[in-house]
Amino acid sequence: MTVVNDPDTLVGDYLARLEAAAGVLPAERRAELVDEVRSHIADARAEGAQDEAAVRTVLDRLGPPAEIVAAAGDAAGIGGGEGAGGNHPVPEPRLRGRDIAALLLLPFGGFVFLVGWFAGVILLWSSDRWRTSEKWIGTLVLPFGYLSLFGISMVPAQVCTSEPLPVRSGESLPTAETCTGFAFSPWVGIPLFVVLLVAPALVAGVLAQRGAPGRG
Amino acid sequence: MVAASVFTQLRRGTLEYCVLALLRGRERYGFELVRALGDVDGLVTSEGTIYPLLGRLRRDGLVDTSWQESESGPPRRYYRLTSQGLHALDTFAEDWVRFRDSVDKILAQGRQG
Repeated sequence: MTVVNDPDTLVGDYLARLEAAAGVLPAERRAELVDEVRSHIADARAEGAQDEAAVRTVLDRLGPPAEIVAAAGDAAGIGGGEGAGGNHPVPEPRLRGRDIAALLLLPFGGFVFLVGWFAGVILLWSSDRWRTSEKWIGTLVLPFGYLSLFGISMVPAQVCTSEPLPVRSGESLPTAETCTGFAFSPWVGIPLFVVLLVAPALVAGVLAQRGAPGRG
Repeated sequence: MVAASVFTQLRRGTLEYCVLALLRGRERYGFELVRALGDVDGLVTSEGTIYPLLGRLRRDGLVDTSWQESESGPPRRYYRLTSQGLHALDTFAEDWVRFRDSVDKILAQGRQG
């Protein structure tokens, strides 16, 4: 049995397989690679590789398309496959986009219709970048993040009014002070405000620093 | 088998400098480069894998490319060394000689017992 394969068909098949295998590469790189291999084959044929056997040798020397593409992945550091590429596992990024999103949504997500914070919590707990204890800290150090702080500062400040009491002669002027609203004494309120201001950012920062693959 | 994997690693580490070395002093187009590397024993197993390597060397700024007319067929992409590439090559060449001499020396000692 002989398979009839004229050289053009062989080359066409080879380039089609290369193109298919190169689907994992960015478009520009794929085009460049296929282009270069195509002109390599054309040059080889122009230099005398005319018949079927000679063309087969040219293609064999080029190697399997998958191996060429694997080398491309290797060269780009995007990893991939067997052969010339291959052996380097791609280092996993310490924090992925979703982890960074979690760290932004925890302090600020509350302002996104409140659900932003919940989204942050879900992303935090479903991530493998943090230990359980860290996840608790991330959740509990200011639930709803800065929205809570904003809410606290919106509580009506204490308002005091003093009215003179009905005056009886011969007495000093007493006043009745009536206060509405609620206030901490400044000695408590100001430090508390500062702590609440700093804590969520600090926690996000610490989580960003500690986050790493496979911790939780 | 161990030796085979060692040579895979060695090839992977040295091939790009062989490419740079072939470009020292003259431009070459892909096929020319690949054939020069492929004709030497044991350096390249699949010639096609050199093309991705050339792409990386270009992105890393070690080689530059330009299109030039060819007497037969469409224009070709020519590769030439940049000054950065030349520097990398020179550094490698020095280190390589030191490395090779050291290995040779140890191997010779081993033979003498």
